[in-house]
Amino acid sequence: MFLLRLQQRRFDDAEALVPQMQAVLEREFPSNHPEVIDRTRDTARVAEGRGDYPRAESLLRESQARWERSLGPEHPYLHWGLEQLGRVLLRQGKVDEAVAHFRRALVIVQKSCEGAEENYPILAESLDFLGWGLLRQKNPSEAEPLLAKAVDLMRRHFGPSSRSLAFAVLHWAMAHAALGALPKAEELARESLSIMTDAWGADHPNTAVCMTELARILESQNRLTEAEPLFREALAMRRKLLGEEHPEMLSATNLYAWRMLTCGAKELRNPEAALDFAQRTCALAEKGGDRNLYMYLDTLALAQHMTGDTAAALQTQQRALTLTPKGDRFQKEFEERLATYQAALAERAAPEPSPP
Amino acid sequence: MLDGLSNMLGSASPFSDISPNVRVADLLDDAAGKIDTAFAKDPLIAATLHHTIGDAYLDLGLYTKARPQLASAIELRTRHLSPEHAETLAARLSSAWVLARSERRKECEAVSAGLLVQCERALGPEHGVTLDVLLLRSYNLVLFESPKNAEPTVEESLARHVRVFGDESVRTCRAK
Repeated sequence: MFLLRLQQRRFDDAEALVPQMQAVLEREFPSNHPEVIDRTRDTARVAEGRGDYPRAESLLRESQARWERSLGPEHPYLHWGLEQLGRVLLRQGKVDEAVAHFRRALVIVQKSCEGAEENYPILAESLDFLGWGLLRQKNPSEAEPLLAKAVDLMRRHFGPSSRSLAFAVLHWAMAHAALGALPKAEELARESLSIMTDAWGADHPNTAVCMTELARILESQNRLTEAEPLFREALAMRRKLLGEEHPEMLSATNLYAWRMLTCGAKELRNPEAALDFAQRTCALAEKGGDRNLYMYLDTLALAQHMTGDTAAALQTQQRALTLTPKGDRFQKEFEERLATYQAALAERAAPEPSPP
Repeated sequence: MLDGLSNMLGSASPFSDISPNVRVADLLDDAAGKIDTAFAKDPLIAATLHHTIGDAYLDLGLYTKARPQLASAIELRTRHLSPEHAETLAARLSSAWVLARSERRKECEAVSAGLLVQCERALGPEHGVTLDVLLLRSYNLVLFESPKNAEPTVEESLARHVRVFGDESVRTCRAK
Protein backbone atom coordinates (compact mmCIF):
# COMPACT_ATOMS: atom_id res chain seq x y z
CA MET A 1 0.00 0.00 0.00
CA PHE A 2 2.87 2.37 0.89
CA LEU A 3 4.51 1.78 -2.51
CA LEU A 4 1.20 2.26 -4.29
CA ARG A 5 0.60 5.59 -2.53
CA LEU A 6 4.13 6.69 -3.47
CA GLN A 7 3.49 5.78 -7.12
CA GLN A 8 0.18 7.64 -7.01
CA ARG A 9 2.05 10.61 -5.54
CA ARG A 10 -0.39 10.55 -2.62
CA PHE A 11 2.42 11.46 -0.26
CA ASP A 12 0.28 12.36 2.77
CA ASP A 13 -1.39 8.94 2.66
CA ALA A 14 1.95 7.18 2.19
CA GLU A 15 3.53 9.06 5.08
CA ALA A 16 0.58 8.29 7.37
CA LEU A 17 1.27 4.55 6.99
CA VAL A 18 4.86 4.80 8.26
CA PRO A 19 4.18 5.41 11.99
CA GLN A 20 1.60 2.62 11.98
CA MET A 21 4.15 0.18 10.57
CA GLN A 22 6.88 1.54 12.82
CA ALA A 23 4.81 1.00 15.99
CA VAL A 24 4.09 -2.64 15.17
CA LEU A 25 7.65 -3.45 14.13
CA GLU A 26 9.22 -1.74 17.14
CA ARG A 27 7.04 -3.84 19.39
CA GLU A 28 8.13 -7.06 17.67
CA PHE A 29 11.78 -6.41 16.84
CA PRO A 30 14.78 -4.64 18.42
CA SER A 31 15.42 -1.05 17.32
CA ASN A 32 18.41 -2.09 15.17
CA HIS A 33 16.38 -4.62 13.13
CA PRO A 34 16.47 -3.92 9.36
CA GLU A 35 12.69 -3.67 9.10
CA VAL A 36 12.59 -1.06 11.88
CA ILE A 37 15.40 1.05 10.39
CA ASP A 38 13.83 0.79 6.95
CA ARG A 39 10.83 2.82 8.08
CA THR A 40 13.06 5.91 8.36
CA ARG A 41 14.04 5.25 4.76
CA ASP A 42 10.35 5.08 3.86
CA THR A 43 9.87 8.59 5.25
CA ALA A 44 12.92 9.65 3.23
CA ARG A 45 11.34 8.23 0.08
CA VAL A 46 8.23 10.32 0.70
CA ALA A 47 10.39 13.43 1.16
CA GLU A 48 12.32 12.60 -2.02
CA GLY A 49 9.05 12.13 -3.95
CA ARG A 50 7.86 15.53 -2.76
CA GLY A 51 11.12 17.07 -3.90
CA ASP A 52 12.13 17.88 -0.31
CA TYR A 53 15.67 16.64 -0.88
CA PRO A 54 17.30 18.23 2.20
CA ARG A 55 14.86 16.36 4.48
CA ALA A 56 15.34 13.13 2.54
CA GLU A 57 19.10 13.57 2.87
CA SER A 58 18.92 14.10 6.61
CA LEU A 59 16.70 11.02 7.13
CA LEU A 60 18.92 8.87 4.95
CA ARG A 61 22.04 9.96 6.80
CA GLU A 62 20.33 9.02 10.06
CA SER A 63 19.20 5.58 8.84
CA GLN A 64 22.59 4.89 7.25
CA ALA A 65 24.36 5.68 10.52
CA ARG A 66 22.00 3.31 12.35
CA TRP A 67 22.65 0.61 9.76
CA GLU A 68 26.39 0.95 10.13
CA ARG A 69 26.22 0.90 13.92
CA SER A 70 24.07 -2.19 13.75
CA LEU A 71 25.75 -4.16 10.95
CA GLY A 72 29.30 -2.80 10.72
CA PRO A 73 30.80 -0.79 7.85
CA GLU A 74 31.02 -3.56 5.22
CA HIS A 75 27.74 -5.43 5.42
CA PRO A 76 26.30 -6.19 1.94
CA TYR A 77 22.99 -4.56 2.83
CA LEU A 78 24.63 -1.13 3.30
CA HIS A 79 24.95 -0.49 -0.43
CA TRP A 80 21.22 0.20 -0.85
CA GLY A 81 21.26 3.01 1.69
CA LEU A 82 24.46 4.49 0.24
CA GLU A 83 22.96 4.47 -3.24
CA GLN A 84 19.69 6.02 -2.09
CA LEU A 85 21.62 8.73 -0.24
CA GLY A 86 23.89 9.27 -3.27
CA ARG A 87 20.85 9.68 -5.51
CA VAL A 88 19.36 12.36 -3.23
CA LEU A 89 22.72 14.15 -3.07
CA LEU A 90 23.00 14.05 -6.84
CA ARG A 91 19.54 15.59 -7.18
CA GLN A 92 20.82 18.50 -5.08
CA GLY A 93 23.94 18.91 -7.18
CA LYS A 94 26.26 17.52 -4.46
CA VAL A 95 27.99 15.49 -7.11
CA ASP A 96 31.35 14.73 -5.50
CA GLU A 97 29.86 13.42 -2.28
CA ALA A 98 27.32 11.39 -4.24
CA VAL A 99 30.07 9.78 -6.31
CA ALA A 100 32.02 8.95 -3.13
CA HIS A 101 28.94 7.11 -1.77
CA PHE A 102 28.42 5.29 -5.07
CA ARG A 103 32.08 4.22 -5.09
CA ARG A 104 31.81 2.90 -1.56
CA ALA A 105 28.60 1.03 -2.39
CA LEU A 106 30.28 -0.61 -5.38
CA VAL A 107 33.24 -1.73 -3.27
CA ILE A 108 30.85 -3.31 -0.75
CA VAL A 109 28.96 -5.17 -3.48
CA GLN A 110 32.14 -6.26 -5.27
CA LYS A 111 33.49 -7.60 -2.01
CA SER A 112 30.37 -9.64 -1.41
CA CYS A 113 30.56 -11.24 -4.87
CA GLU A 114 34.31 -11.44 -5.24
CA GLY A 115 35.35 -13.99 -7.82
CA ALA A 116 31.82 -14.57 -9.10
CA GLU A 117 30.73 -11.16 -10.39
CA GLU A 118 28.99 -12.70 -13.40
CA ASN A 119 26.41 -14.25 -11.06
CA TYR A 120 25.50 -11.01 -9.33
CA PRO A 121 23.04 -8.83 -11.23
CA ILE A 122 22.92 -6.70 -8.08
CA LEU A 123 26.42 -5.53 -9.05
CA ALA A 124 24.96 -4.11 -12.26
CA GLU A 125 22.83 -1.63 -10.34
CA SER A 126 25.82 -0.42 -8.31
CA LEU A 127 27.83 0.00 -11.54
CA ASP A 128 24.95 1.97 -13.03
CA PHE A 129 24.72 4.30 -10.02
CA LEU A 130 28.45 5.04 -10.12
CA GLY A 131 28.36 5.49 -13.91
CA TRP A 132 25.50 7.97 -13.55
CA GLY A 133 27.37 9.89 -10.84
CA LEU A 134 30.53 10.01 -12.96
CA LEU A 135 28.53 11.38 -15.89
CA ARG A 136 27.26 14.17 -13.64
CA GLN A 137 30.87 14.71 -12.57
CA LYS A 138 31.74 15.22 -16.25
CA ASN A 139 33.85 12.07 -16.35
CA PRO A 140 32.34 10.04 -19.21
CA SER A 141 35.55 8.12 -19.95
CA GLU A 142 35.46 6.46 -16.55
CA ALA A 143 31.68 6.07 -16.66
CA GLU A 144 31.40 4.39 -20.07
CA PRO A 145 33.05 1.01 -19.31
CA LEU A 146 31.19 0.73 -16.00
CA LEU A 147 27.89 1.37 -17.75
CA ALA A 148 28.76 -1.06 -20.54
CA LYS A 149 29.32 -3.76 -17.92
CA ALA A 150 26.10 -2.84 -16.10
CA VAL A 151 24.07 -3.12 -19.31
CA ASP A 152 25.70 -6.43 -20.21
CA LEU A 153 24.94 -7.93 -16.78
CA MET A 154 21.37 -6.67 -16.85
CA ARG A 155 20.74 -7.94 -20.36
CA ARG A 156 21.87 -11.40 -19.25
CA HIS A 157 20.11 -11.57 -15.88
CA PHE A 158 17.04 -9.35 -16.23
CA GLY A 159 14.38 -9.47 -18.90
CA PRO A 160 14.65 -7.17 -21.93
CA SER A 161 11.90 -5.01 -20.46
CA SER A 162 13.53 -4.43 -17.05
CA ARG A 163 13.19 -0.95 -15.58
CA SER A 164 16.76 -1.04 -14.26
CA LEU A 165 17.97 -1.92 -17.74
CA ALA A 166 16.09 1.09 -19.13
CA PHE A 167 18.04 3.43 -16.83
CA ALA A 168 21.40 1.77 -17.41
CA VAL A 169 20.89 1.93 -21.20
CA LEU A 170 19.93 5.61 -20.91
CA HIS A 171 23.04 6.40 -18.86
CA TRP A 172 25.17 4.45 -21.33
CA ALA A 173 23.60 6.54 -24.12
CA MET A 174 24.53 9.72 -22.21
CA ALA A 175 28.12 8.46 -21.85
CA HIS A 176 28.32 7.84 -25.60
CA ALA A 177 26.90 11.30 -26.27
CA ALA A 178 29.43 12.91 -23.93
CA LEU A 179 32.22 11.05 -25.75
CA GLY A 180 30.92 12.21 -29.13
CA ALA A 181 29.57 8.84 -30.35
CA LEU A 182 26.20 10.35 -31.22
CA PRO A 183 24.64 7.70 -33.53
CA LYS A 184 25.24 4.99 -30.91
CA ALA A 185 23.95 7.36 -28.21
CA GLU A 186 20.76 7.91 -30.19
CA GLU A 187 20.23 4.19 -30.76
CA LEU A 188 20.59 3.49 -27.02
CA ALA A 189 18.39 6.41 -25.97
CA ARG A 190 15.64 5.18 -28.30
CA GLU A 191 15.96 1.66 -26.84
CA SER A 192 15.67 3.09 -23.33
CA LEU A 193 12.65 5.20 -24.25
CA SER A 194 10.93 2.16 -25.70
CA ILE A 195 11.51 0.11 -22.50
CA MET A 196 10.40 3.00 -20.29
CA THR A 197 7.23 3.62 -22.29
CA ASP A 198 6.45 -0.08 -22.06
CA ALA A 199 7.22 -0.25 -18.32
CA TRP A 200 5.66 2.99 -17.07
CA GLY A 201 3.50 4.17 -19.93
CA ALA A 202 3.96 7.27 -22.07
CA ASP A 203 3.02 9.56 -19.18
CA HIS A 204 5.60 9.20 -16.42
CA PRO A 205 8.40 11.41 -15.03
CA ASN A 206 11.00 8.77 -15.95
CA THR A 207 9.75 8.70 -19.54
CA ALA A 208 10.07 12.51 -19.55
CA VAL A 209 13.70 12.28 -18.38
CA CYS A 210 14.50 9.82 -21.16
CA MET A 211 12.70 11.92 -23.77
CA THR A 212 14.72 14.99 -22.75
CA GLU A 213 18.00 13.10 -23.07
CA LEU A 214 17.03 11.80 -26.52
CA ALA A 215 16.16 15.37 -27.52
CA ARG A 216 19.56 16.57 -26.31
CA ILE A 217 21.30 13.89 -28.37
CA LEU A 218 19.31 14.92 -31.46
CA GLU A 219 20.15 18.55 -30.74
CA SER A 220 23.85 17.68 -30.54
CA GLN A 221 23.51 16.25 -34.06
CA ASN A 222 21.98 19.55 -35.13
CA ARG A 223 18.60 17.84 -35.75
CA LEU A 224 16.84 20.70 -34.03
CA THR A 225 13.41 20.35 -35.55
CA GLU A 226 13.27 16.71 -34.39
CA ALA A 227 14.50 17.65 -30.91
CA GLU A 228 12.08 20.52 -30.34
CA PRO A 229 8.79 18.54 -30.02
CA LEU A 230 10.47 16.06 -27.69
CA PHE A 231 11.70 18.86 -25.40
CA ARG A 232 8.24 20.40 -25.40
CA GLU A 233 6.41 17.12 -24.77
CA ALA A 234 8.77 16.15 -21.92
CA LEU A 235 8.28 19.52 -20.25
CA ALA A 236 4.48 19.32 -20.54
CA MET A 237 4.55 15.79 -19.11
CA ARG A 238 6.60 16.90 -16.12
CA ARG A 239 4.36 19.89 -15.48
CA LYS A 240 1.30 17.64 -15.48
CA LEU A 241 2.83 14.90 -13.32
CA LEU A 242 5.03 16.82 -10.89
CA GLY A 243 3.38 20.24 -10.70
CA GLU A 244 4.99 23.63 -11.35
CA GLU A 245 6.81 23.85 -8.02
CA HIS A 246 8.65 20.51 -7.98
CA PRO A 247 12.45 21.02 -8.09
CA GLU A 248 12.75 18.70 -11.11
CA MET A 249 10.14 20.77 -12.93
CA LEU A 250 11.99 24.00 -12.13
CA SER A 251 15.22 22.54 -13.41
CA ALA A 252 13.54 21.24 -16.61
CA THR A 253 11.82 24.60 -17.23
CA ASN A 254 15.11 26.40 -16.75
CA LEU A 255 16.78 24.10 -19.28
CA TYR A 256 13.95 24.71 -21.74
CA ALA A 257 14.17 28.48 -21.32
CA TRP A 258 17.95 28.37 -21.74
CA ARG A 259 17.50 26.39 -24.92
CA MET A 260 15.03 28.93 -26.29
CA LEU A 261 17.72 31.58 -25.77
CA THR A 262 20.74 29.73 -27.10
CA CYS A 263 19.39 27.19 -29.62
CA GLY A 264 21.74 26.69 -32.59
CA ALA A 265 18.87 27.28 -35.04
CA LYS A 266 18.03 30.97 -34.69
CA GLU A 267 14.50 30.43 -36.01
CA LEU A 268 13.77 28.24 -32.98
CA ARG A 269 14.90 30.90 -30.49
CA ASN A 270 12.16 32.72 -28.60
CA PRO A 271 13.54 35.17 -26.02
CA GLU A 272 10.11 36.55 -25.07
CA ALA A 273 8.75 33.10 -24.21
CA ALA A 274 12.03 32.28 -22.46
CA LEU A 275 11.70 35.43 -20.35
CA ASP A 276 8.24 34.35 -19.25
CA PHE A 277 9.48 30.83 -18.33
CA ALA A 278 12.54 32.22 -16.53
CA GLN A 279 10.53 34.73 -14.49
CA ARG A 280 8.11 32.03 -13.34
CA THR A 281 10.94 29.62 -12.53
CA CYS A 282 12.77 32.23 -10.44
CA ALA A 283 9.62 33.24 -8.57
CA LEU A 284 8.83 29.63 -7.67
CA ALA A 285 12.45 28.81 -6.79
CA GLU A 286 12.58 31.89 -4.56
CA LYS A 287 9.36 30.87 -2.84
CA GLY A 288 10.53 27.29 -2.29
CA GLY A 289 14.09 28.21 -1.28
CA ASP A 290 15.51 26.16 -4.16
CA ARG A 291 19.30 25.99 -3.96
CA ASN A 292 19.58 26.24 -7.76
CA LEU A 293 18.05 29.73 -7.79
CA TYR A 294 21.41 31.23 -8.82
CA MET A 295 21.33 29.19 -12.04
CA TYR A 296 17.77 30.21 -12.80
CA LEU A 297 18.69 33.86 -12.25
CA ASP A 298 21.51 33.49 -14.76
CA THR A 299 18.96 32.31 -17.35
CA LEU A 300 16.61 35.15 -16.43
CA ALA A 301 19.41 37.69 -16.88
CA LEU A 302 20.17 36.40 -20.36
CA ALA A 303 16.47 36.51 -21.27
CA GLN A 304 16.25 40.10 -20.00
CA HIS A 305 19.34 41.05 -22.00
CA MET A 306 18.05 39.41 -25.18
CA THR A 307 14.67 41.13 -24.86
CA GLY A 308 16.38 44.51 -24.53
CA ASP A 309 16.38 45.12 -20.76
CA THR A 310 20.12 44.93 -20.15
CA ALA A 311 19.93 47.11 -17.02
CA ALA A 312 17.68 44.51 -15.39
CA ALA A 313 19.95 41.75 -16.72
CA LEU A 314 22.91 43.36 -14.99
CA GLN A 315 21.13 43.46 -11.64
CA THR A 316 19.85 39.91 -11.99
CA GLN A 317 23.28 38.59 -12.96
CA GLN A 318 24.86 40.37 -9.97
CA ARG A 319 22.36 38.65 -7.71
CA ALA A 320 23.06 35.29 -9.40
CA LEU A 321 26.75 35.75 -8.65
CA THR A 322 26.04 36.68 -5.04
CA LEU A 323 24.16 33.40 -4.59
CA THR A 324 26.64 31.22 -6.51
CA PRO A 325 28.34 28.75 -4.15
CA LYS A 326 32.10 29.24 -3.79
CA GLY A 327 34.05 27.22 -6.34
CA ASP A 328 30.95 26.47 -8.45
CA ARG A 329 31.89 25.36 -11.95
CA PHE A 330 29.60 27.98 -13.51
CA GLN A 331 31.10 30.96 -11.66
CA LYS A 332 33.52 31.95 -14.42
CA GLU A 333 30.79 31.77 -17.08
CA PHE A 334 28.51 33.90 -14.91
CA GLU A 335 31.24 36.53 -14.47
CA GLU A 336 31.82 36.61 -18.22
CA ARG A 337 28.14 37.25 -18.87
CA LEU A 338 28.12 39.98 -16.22
CA ALA A 339 31.01 41.64 -18.07
CA THR A 340 29.07 41.34 -21.35
CA TYR A 341 26.05 43.11 -19.84
CA GLN A 342 28.27 45.81 -18.33
CA ALA A 343 29.97 46.37 -21.70
CA ALA A 344 26.62 46.53 -23.51
CA LEU A 345 25.29 49.12 -21.07
CA ALA A 346 28.51 51.17 -21.25
CA GLU A 347 28.30 51.14 -25.03
CA ARG A 348 24.71 52.42 -24.94
CA ALA A 349 25.65 55.13 -22.42
CA ALA A 350 28.59 56.41 -24.53
CA PRO A 351 27.92 59.84 -26.18
CA GLU A 352 26.85 59.76 -29.80
CA PRO A 353 29.82 60.63 -32.08
CA SER A 354 29.61 64.26 -33.28
CA PRO A 355 28.56 64.68 -36.89
CA PRO A 356 31.40 65.62 -39.18
CA MET B 1 17.77 -32.47 12.58
CA LEU B 2 15.85 -30.88 9.74
CA ASP B 3 15.08 -27.77 11.77
CA GLY B 4 18.73 -27.46 12.80
CA LEU B 5 20.02 -27.75 9.24
CA SER B 6 17.37 -25.49 7.86
CA ASN B 7 18.07 -22.86 10.50
CA MET B 8 21.80 -23.04 9.87
CA LEU B 9 21.26 -22.42 6.17
CA GLY B 10 18.64 -19.79 6.79
CA SER B 11 21.16 -17.90 8.91
CA ALA B 12 23.20 -17.50 5.76
CA SER B 13 20.79 -14.77 4.70
CA PRO B 14 22.57 -11.39 4.48
CA PHE B 15 19.96 -10.06 6.89
CA SER B 16 21.25 -12.33 9.67
CA ASP B 17 24.31 -11.97 11.85
CA ILE B 18 27.18 -14.05 10.56
CA SER B 19 30.92 -14.13 11.06
CA PRO B 20 32.59 -11.78 8.58
CA ASN B 21 35.19 -14.47 7.90
CA VAL B 22 32.65 -16.81 6.33
CA ARG B 23 31.57 -16.06 2.78
CA VAL B 24 27.87 -16.75 2.77
CA ALA B 25 27.74 -17.81 -0.86
CA ASP B 26 30.50 -20.39 -0.27
CA LEU B 27 28.59 -21.86 2.65
CA LEU B 28 25.50 -22.18 0.50
CA ASP B 29 27.38 -23.59 -2.52
CA ASP B 30 28.96 -26.20 -0.31
CA ALA B 31 25.66 -27.23 1.29
CA ALA B 32 23.74 -27.21 -2.00
CA GLY B 33 26.17 -29.64 -3.57
CA LYS B 34 25.67 -32.21 -0.79
CA ILE B 35 21.90 -32.27 -0.34
CA ASP B 36 20.86 -34.84 -2.92
CA THR B 37 23.51 -37.36 -1.87
CA ALA B 38 23.09 -36.84 1.86
CA PHE B 39 19.31 -37.00 1.78
CA ALA B 40 18.71 -39.41 -1.10
CA LYS B 41 16.38 -41.43 1.11
CA ASP B 42 14.60 -38.40 2.59
CA PRO B 43 13.33 -36.43 -0.41
CA LEU B 44 11.16 -34.13 1.67
CA ILE B 45 14.10 -33.13 3.85
CA ALA B 46 16.09 -32.55 0.66
CA ALA B 47 13.21 -30.42 -0.66
CA THR B 48 13.15 -28.28 2.49
CA LEU B 49 16.91 -27.70 2.26
CA HIS B 50 16.74 -26.82 -1.43
CA HIS B 51 13.96 -24.34 -0.63
CA THR B 52 15.90 -22.78 2.27
CA ILE B 53 19.08 -22.46 0.20
CA GLY B 54 17.09 -21.06 -2.73
CA ASP B 55 15.60 -18.38 -0.47
CA ALA B 56 19.03 -17.52 0.93
CA TYR B 57 20.46 -17.14 -2.61
CA LEU B 58 17.47 -14.93 -3.39
CA ASP B 59 18.27 -12.66 -0.42
CA LEU B 60 21.87 -12.48 -1.64
CA GLY B 61 20.77 -11.47 -5.12
CA LEU B 62 22.17 -14.69 -6.60
CA TYR B 63 19.21 -15.33 -8.84
CA THR B 64 20.83 -17.78 -11.25
CA LYS B 65 21.83 -19.94 -8.29
CA ALA B 66 18.45 -19.63 -6.58
CA ARG B 67 16.50 -20.92 -9.59
CA PRO B 68 17.76 -24.55 -9.73
CA GLN B 69 17.50 -24.92 -5.94
CA LEU B 70 13.87 -23.85 -5.96
CA ALA B 71 13.16 -25.95 -9.05
CA SER B 72 14.48 -29.01 -7.17
CA ALA B 73 12.28 -28.20 -4.16
CA ILE B 74 9.22 -27.88 -6.43
CA GLU B 75 10.01 -31.08 -8.29
CA LEU B 76 10.56 -33.17 -5.13
CA ARG B 77 7.46 -31.84 -3.38
CA THR B 78 5.29 -32.25 -6.48
CA ARG B 79 6.40 -35.87 -6.71
CA HIS B 80 6.26 -36.77 -3.01
CA LEU B 81 3.47 -34.51 -1.71
CA SER B 82 1.27 -33.17 -4.52
CA PRO B 83 1.33 -30.30 -7.00
CA GLU B 84 -1.15 -28.36 -4.89
CA HIS B 85 0.26 -29.08 -1.44
CA ALA B 86 0.92 -25.90 0.56
CA GLU B 87 4.67 -26.56 0.65
CA THR B 88 4.86 -27.13 -3.11
CA LEU B 89 2.98 -23.89 -3.69
CA ALA B 90 5.25 -22.09 -1.19
CA ALA B 91 8.33 -23.19 -3.19
CA ARG B 92 6.64 -21.97 -6.36
CA LEU B 93 6.03 -18.65 -4.64
CA SER B 94 9.76 -18.33 -3.87
CA SER B 95 10.48 -19.14 -7.48
CA ALA B 96 8.10 -16.37 -8.57
CA TRP B 97 9.96 -13.96 -6.26
CA VAL B 98 13.16 -14.78 -8.18
CA LEU B 99 11.38 -13.62 -11.33
CA ALA B 100 10.18 -10.46 -9.58
CA ARG B 101 13.56 -9.53 -8.14
CA SER B 102 15.34 -10.21 -11.41
CA GLU B 103 12.76 -7.95 -13.07
CA ARG B 104 11.34 -10.60 -15.39
CA ARG B 105 8.08 -8.82 -14.93
CA LYS B 106 6.00 -10.37 -17.70
CA GLU B 107 6.94 -13.94 -16.69
CA CYS B 108 6.38 -13.06 -13.06
CA GLU B 109 3.01 -11.56 -13.82
CA ALA B 110 1.87 -14.72 -15.63
CA VAL B 111 3.28 -17.09 -13.00
CA SER B 112 1.93 -15.20 -9.98
CA ALA B 113 -1.55 -14.77 -11.52
CA GLY B 114 -1.77 -18.54 -12.15
CA LEU B 115 -0.33 -19.34 -8.74
CA LEU B 116 -2.88 -17.16 -6.98
CA VAL B 117 -5.77 -18.99 -8.65
CA GLN B 118 -4.24 -22.34 -7.68
CA CYS B 119 -3.62 -21.29 -4.06
CA GLU B 120 -7.13 -19.92 -3.63
CA ARG B 121 -8.59 -23.15 -5.00
CA ALA B 122 -6.34 -25.57 -3.13
CA LEU B 123 -5.67 -23.73 0.13
CA GLY B 124 -8.46 -21.17 0.39
CA PRO B 125 -8.37 -17.38 0.09
CA GLU B 126 -7.05 -16.76 3.61
CA HIS B 127 -4.29 -19.36 3.88
CA GLY B 128 -0.85 -17.92 4.71
CA VAL B 129 0.67 -19.00 1.37
CA THR B 130 -2.28 -17.55 -0.57
CA LEU B 131 -1.82 -14.24 1.25
CA ASP B 132 1.90 -14.26 0.47
CA VAL B 133 1.12 -14.83 -3.22
CA LEU B 134 -1.37 -11.96 -3.08
CA LEU B 135 1.36 -9.77 -1.62
CA LEU B 136 3.68 -10.68 -4.50
CA ARG B 137 0.90 -9.88 -7.00
CA SER B 138 0.43 -6.50 -5.30
CA TYR B 139 4.17 -5.81 -5.46
CA ASN B 140 4.26 -6.68 -9.16
CA LEU B 141 1.26 -4.61 -10.04
CA VAL B 142 2.45 -1.59 -8.08
CA LEU B 143 5.90 -1.63 -9.60
CA PHE B 144 5.09 -2.72 -13.11
CA GLU B 145 1.52 -1.69 -13.85
CA SER B 146 -0.32 1.57 -13.58
CA PRO B 147 -1.44 2.48 -10.02
CA LYS B 148 -5.05 2.29 -11.21
CA ASN B 149 -4.62 -1.39 -12.18
CA ALA B 150 -2.80 -2.15 -8.93
CA GLU B 151 -5.20 -0.51 -6.49
CA PRO B 152 -7.93 -3.23 -6.27
CA THR B 153 -5.39 -6.02 -5.65
CA VAL B 154 -3.48 -3.98 -3.06
CA GLU B 155 -6.72 -3.09 -1.25
CA GLU B 156 -7.83 -6.72 -1.34
CA SER B 157 -4.49 -7.93 -0.02
CA LEU B 158 -4.54 -5.49 2.89
CA ALA B 159 -8.16 -6.29 3.74
CA ARG B 160 -7.46 -10.02 3.84
CA HIS B 161 -4.33 -9.55 5.95
CA VAL B 162 -6.26 -7.44 8.47
CA ARG B 163 -9.05 -10.04 8.58
CA VAL B 164 -6.70 -12.97 9.14
CA PHE B 165 -3.89 -11.48 11.24
CA GLY B 166 -5.43 -8.32 12.74
CA ASP B 167 -4.39 -4.73 12.20
CA GLU B 168 -1.45 -4.90 14.59
CA SER B 169 0.48 -7.90 13.25
CA VAL B 170 3.85 -7.91 11.50
CA ARG B 171 2.35 -9.64 8.46
CA THR B 172 -0.32 -6.96 8.08
CA CYS B 173 2.41 -4.39 8.54
CA ARG B 174 4.27 -5.91 5.56
CA ALA B 175 1.09 -5.72 3.49
CA LYS B 176 0.92 -2.04 4.38
